[in-house]
Formats: sequence, structure tokens, C-alpha cells
Amino acid sequence: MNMAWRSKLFAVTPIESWPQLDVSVLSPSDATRHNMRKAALTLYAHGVSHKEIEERTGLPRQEVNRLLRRCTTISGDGQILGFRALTPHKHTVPYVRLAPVVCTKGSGGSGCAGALGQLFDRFPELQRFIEREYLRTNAGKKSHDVRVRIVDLHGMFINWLKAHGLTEDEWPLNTNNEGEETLRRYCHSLVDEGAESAIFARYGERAAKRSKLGTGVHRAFSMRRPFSAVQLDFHKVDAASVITIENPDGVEIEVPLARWHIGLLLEERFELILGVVVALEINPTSDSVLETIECALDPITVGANNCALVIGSGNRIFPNQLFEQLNGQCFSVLRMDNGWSNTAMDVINNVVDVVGCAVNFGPVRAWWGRDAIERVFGQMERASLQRSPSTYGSDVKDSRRKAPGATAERLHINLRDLIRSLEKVIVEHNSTRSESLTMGSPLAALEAAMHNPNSMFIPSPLPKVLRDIPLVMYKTLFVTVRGNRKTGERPYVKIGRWRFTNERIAYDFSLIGKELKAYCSIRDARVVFATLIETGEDLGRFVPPRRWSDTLISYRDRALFFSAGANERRSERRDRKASSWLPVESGHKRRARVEKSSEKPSAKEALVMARQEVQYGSPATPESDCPAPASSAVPSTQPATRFSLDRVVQIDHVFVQE
Amino acid sequence: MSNRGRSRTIAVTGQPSAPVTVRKESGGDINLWYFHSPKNRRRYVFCGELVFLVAILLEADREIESYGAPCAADYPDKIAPHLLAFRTDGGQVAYFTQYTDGSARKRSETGPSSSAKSDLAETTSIIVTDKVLRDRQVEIENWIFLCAAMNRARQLPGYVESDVLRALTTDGRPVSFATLLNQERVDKACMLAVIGNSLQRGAIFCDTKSAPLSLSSMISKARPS
Repeated sequence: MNMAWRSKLFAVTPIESWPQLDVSVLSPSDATRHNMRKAALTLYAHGVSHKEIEERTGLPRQEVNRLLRRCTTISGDGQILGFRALTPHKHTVPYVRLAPVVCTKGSGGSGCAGALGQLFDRFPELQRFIEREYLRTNAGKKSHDVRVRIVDLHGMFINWLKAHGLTEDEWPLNTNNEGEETLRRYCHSLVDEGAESAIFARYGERAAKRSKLGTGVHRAFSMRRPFSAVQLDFHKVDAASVITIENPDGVEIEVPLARWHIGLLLEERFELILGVVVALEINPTSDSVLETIECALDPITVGANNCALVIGSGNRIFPNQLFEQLNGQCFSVLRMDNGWSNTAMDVINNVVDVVGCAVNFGPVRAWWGRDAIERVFGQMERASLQRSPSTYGSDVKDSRRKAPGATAERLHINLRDLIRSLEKVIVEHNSTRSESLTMGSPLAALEAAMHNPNSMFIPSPLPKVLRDIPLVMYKTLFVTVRGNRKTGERPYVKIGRWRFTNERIAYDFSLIGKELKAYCSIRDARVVFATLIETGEDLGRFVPPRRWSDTLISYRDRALFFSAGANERRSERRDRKASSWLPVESGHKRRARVEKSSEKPSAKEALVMARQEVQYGSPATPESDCPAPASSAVPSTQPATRFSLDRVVQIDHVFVQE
Repeated sequence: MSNRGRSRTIAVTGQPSAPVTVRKESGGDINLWYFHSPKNRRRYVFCGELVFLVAILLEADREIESYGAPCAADYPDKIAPHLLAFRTDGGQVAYFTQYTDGSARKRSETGPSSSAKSDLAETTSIIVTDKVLRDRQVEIENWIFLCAAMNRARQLPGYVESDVLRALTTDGRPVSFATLLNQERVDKACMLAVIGNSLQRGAIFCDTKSAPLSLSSMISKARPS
């Protein structure tokens, strides 16, 4: 290596920039040897002659050149090895066996180092075969195993070798385990390299996606400003429940549910819970999503006749209830899950229009992008929900799963109790010191930021004009104006089983049949604005039915009350014996009416008449038309049958169930 | 060569496509960003986080008149740019984004070579990497904040706030965010929007590149260029 080559080498890779080694981890003798070698190379880099290098370090020219070649070898991380190559006994290149493998039949694996590599050199397609089988990602043919076991792969490996002419006295067929351990180590090394495809093939999609984390590479962008980014998600509560809710009059209504959900909005910087909503739905709707967001924007207040089944109603729970400055405080980015309700365009448009933020949908099933919110859900589940004995558990083998349906019939959850327990979890989370905030609590950290003008917190509320209108988050519906000129029924629209009208449409019968675009407040079902689609005319605010005008109830809760109440009404009707109060036509009257009528009796009437005849004999002439109560009938001690004459009782009036 | 890269920009006309629909073309593991651009006054769907971040920087760049989704027909045999920007001097810039860190798959996405050129006249191609964007995090976060503020009050005129801003910056002395937001007659949301719009137009100056915006950030009348 002449001087020109030497200066060119060190011009390209100055020795000062060579990767270093932490000498403190070496033994004293290794450290001494390392330092001597390093000194020799440093002298060489500075143009000192080999003779002088040998005098000072004891290393001859050949050794210095050998060390130089080792140090300038490219390592696996793309750099030269540098001073790392000076470690005694360090391999700078992978071991390649040159000598033939010699071992006798039945011997162990000693003396066979590098044998597999040699086999791959001889049969390049063998290496591809092993990698293809071990890292297969789809079954393909029925005979293929997606995740083949090493022991099965080894069988395929041996069969392949035999099919390609390997004899019994060649490696690996002439060893005890036939190279199984070598094959196992090789296969593990394929995954150890950390390739996502290899992890996917062996451990599944979830593991492959998880392997993207912790690479030491920071994201291209991360938010540091308070209220810069928030995360929204819904958590499924797998507890079969009969949840009792109270209507504005205090009447309890039961809502049986196999599952229900909790919606949560979390501020990313301080991991502060901004809003939580209980969604008594099998699947969360876009209304629940919007209500969760509105809960964080607009503080929940309590008033008379407040029918809100909401967390924070009556207590100061959320940050916007604790700090007036946060009334209407908005955010710049909303991260959402890819669940179907979240991605309804209603939600996206509403949020972008009102809050002005960007909406981010992360990769599908990438829970780690929202690890903070998932952590909070875990806390909520542990704190308040897994105590419920009626849980479906995580799967059919979950020991907590004990006839959840039956238990739910016995376990009634009062919604108010549930809300109180969730409020406690929220307050605890927001007030608990956290390592991620250097042992400050989320609320304390936010308060400190709000009071520090040099912090990154800048109050960014909704415009005042929007806050004054109770329509922060709204649902849009297309409704038709109804009414009837002939009967004098003034124009109105029906939304959520309520009739809404106002002076504008009430006095304009020409609007009947026209389509309106209605904007309904998510939080207050009484608030509706509408525009006429045909002309774009703003029709203003609509007036709710008078009986509801003083009751605050959310759009969702109204639907819940009507739906749950309708179910209860239906089942109560079935059980009610109210028909026992109602008289029916006696047999003779029915017959007289039928005979008078020129029409033939209907099949039903004929059947009733025939039954009455069988049961009660020929009808006698009634003395009066007034029905007598059922108790006046002579009770039968035996059940009447179609052909039984034991129970021939002459009674004037019969009360039958409708 | 397929024209349908994974990272791309979709300009929204009418109702934006639902994420499910967008993912059918762009892939399940890509970041989607729904964003209303104050500069272009329209909505976009950005497929890929880097594309979104580049768009934010373009919102801040006064030399960029507008930007949008390229027309696929203009790139029949090439990889279409992820974003196409139009300069105030009439030139065009085709932006490509690329990861240099992270998984091999991420790094293999997109990827015209550095010498790729568009056939369109006066079009410069720029490849923006995640490293470059990481170095500009402060500016990006500032402008994400300002864009949201501008969007929030975009339907409101902001005359009062504009007058206040003009009055307080006329004499050339800097004024803080806190002072502007605490003025009696102003609506904070509208004032933030007016500040954002004025910065975007170059009517006022505030350092958004090297320091995060705060209540003590100073705004002054723009220096003549």
C-alpha cells in the first residue's frame, strides 16, 4: 500500500470518524492489545513509516496491513467496521467452510461448523426452498402448511436432499440429528434479522405491525403543543347488562344490552381526558361520536328537567368544566379509529367544518398509534367494569364467562351509578401524577401551561357566534314538510317522533311536501334549524313540541327512551289483562247481526260462533244488553274442551281476551 | 409503470370519499388525512403522513400560490407526483415524498430517482424525505395550529380583528399574541384566523420557523422584501 493509496483512503474515511469501541468493556489484556493496534493504525494514518510504527508498537507491516483491511471492511450497518474490528477474535466476515465435512454415521455435530452454508453453496435452490417454506404467508395448496414447524420442515429438508442425490454418508444424513438443530438455528436467524415479512410469516399480522415500533427511529412528526392533537375512540364493554335509565318524570325504563360502549376523547400532550360519553348501543353511531366531541368542546351544564344521561352532568369532571378558559377550546388534529361509525362522512364533515382541524385515520388496526387512549380504556375497564359478574369475557374459554345472559337478568345496572363510577375514574386519571409528565398530573400540567405565557398553550376557542348558538355538533337530516290543507293541519316536520314547526313554515301551506335540510343539535334535541333545499332559504330555528320545551334531552337519549320504552310497552301489553274489562258481542247478538246481514259471516266470525255454541250451547234470549262483569259467570271447575259437555253453562255475556 | 402510488393527494369535489373507499386504492396501512386548505379554500384527502406535512409547509410558503393533486393523465408512464404546487412566478413544483428511515417497505415506497423530471414545462421535482420534515417540526406544528385557526373562522369576516391588528402593528413596533388576543372587542377565534391569514399573505411577520408559537410570540409589520 503506497503513500498515494494511503492518503486517498484516509481522505475518504478519516480515521477520526471511524466507529469506536468502548474499551472499558474489554478485559485488561484485550484492552491493552486493542489500544496498541489502534495506536499503530493512527500512526499509519498520519503518515508515519512502518519502521517507526514497529518500533513504537511492536506491530510489523504485515500486521498493520492486515488490521487495516479488517478495519475497512463494511459491516452489517453499512459503515466500515473501524476500530470495532480490533477486538481480539472478532469475526469480520461470515464464516465460510472450505474443507469438506467429514464425520461418521451416528456421530454428533462436532466438526461440522459451516456445513449448512457449504450445502447451500452446493444446492442454491435448497436455501430458497427452506426460506420459502419457513416464511410462507399463504397456504396456497392444501398440502402446504402456513406456519410449518421446524420438525416438519426438517422432514421436508431431508426428503429434498435425498431427492437431489445426497447419500447417507454425507452431511447431514450421517449425523445423529440429521442437521435438525442446525436447521433450527438457521430458521431462527431468518426472523432474528428483524424483517417485518419474516415476523409476519411466523407470528402473524399483529406481531408484524407491532414490530414497527421501537425501531429507534422517531416519527417524522410529533405534536408538542397542548390541545394540538386529540384522540377519539370507542371501547366496547362486553358486559351483558340491563341498564336502568330514568326519564324526565323519574320513571325507570330498562334497556337490555348484550354490549355497550364508552366513547372517549383524550388530549395527546398531557394524556388528559377531555370528554367521555356512555353509548348504550350495540355499535356506536356517528351521533355518539359527535356527542363525545361536543362534550369536550362545550361544557356540560345542569339545569332543571335535565334529562341528560351524561357524564359530568351535575359534577365538575372535565377540564372545560374546571377551567372557564377552556370553554370551547379546540384542537388542530383529531385522530380517529377506522371503526365504521367513526368514519361516517357526517362526522368528518362536521368536525372539519366546525373545529377546523385535520382528521387523521391511522393505519388499520394500528393500536399503537393511539396507545394513550387504549391505556386509559384499560384503566376504565379495570376500575369499574370487570367487577361486573355478568361479563362475556374475552372469549368462550374465559373463566369469567358464567352464563352472562342469565346473570344479566338478575344484575340491573343503574346508569347513574355507572356514570358516577366512570366520573371517579376520569377524575382520578386526570389528577394522578404520571411518569410521562415527569411526575406531574395531567390537570396540573395543563394548568401550569395555561398560566405560563411562554408555554406552547394558546387559547383557541370556537368563534363566539358559534358558541352562542347551541349547535356546535349537529346531525343533518333530510325531512319533508307535512301538513294538510283540508284538515287545517299546519305545516310541520317530524324529527325523532317530535313535531317541529315555526312561524315561517306554519303559515305557508305551499311548503307541504317540500324537502328541508335539518340541522339537529346532538346535545339538545329541542334545537333544530333547517333550510329549504329547493331555494337554499334559511328557515331559521324550529320550535319543539310544548310538552318538551323545558326538557333538556340529547338527540341520542331521546331515541334511546323511545326505543327502549317501546319495547317495554310491547311486552307489557302482552301481559296485560285489560281485555277482561272489555265486553264482546254475545253469541245471539252476533248471530242476529250475521243473519240480518246479507253478507256471509267471515271465517273468523263463523269460528267464534261455532265455539260459542259448543261451549255454551244455544244462546238464550238476553234480558238486557248490559254486559255483566266476568265474576257473574258461573266458573267452571274443569277446563272447557271443544267436545266436553260438562261445561255447558248458559251465560248471557262472555268476556274473552282480545 | 403503475401510476397509482400509495402516497397521493385527492382533491375533494363535493362530498369527500369515506376512508374505506380511499383505502381500497391506497392500501390499508397508510395514514389518511382529511384537511381543509386555507390557501386553496378546498378540502383534500392526503394519503400518507409525509404528503400532509409537505402540504402544511406549502401553506406557509409565500412563494407558493396554490397546490393540489396532480392530474394522472399527465403522467401516463411515470410515477405521478404526490403533490403539485404552483409558484407565484408561474413555475410548477412536483413534490415526491420518501422515507429514509424506518422499515424497508416504507423506504421502498414512492421513489422516483433523484433525477426524475416531469415532462411538463417549467416543472421542478423535489423529493422530500422524513429527515427533512423532522428538521422542520417546529414550523409544521405552528402552521397546523394556524391552519386550524383559519379554518375555524373562515365563514366570519373578521373586520374588527383586522382593524385591531392593523392598528397595533402600524407603528412598526412588535406586539405579542397575548396583547392581540386580549383586546376588548376581538373574538379570539377570529383574531387567530386574521393573524394566520396575514402571515400567509406576508402582511405581518412572526418567526414560525425556529420557535413554537406562544402567547409571548411577537408579531410585527412585514419588512418590505
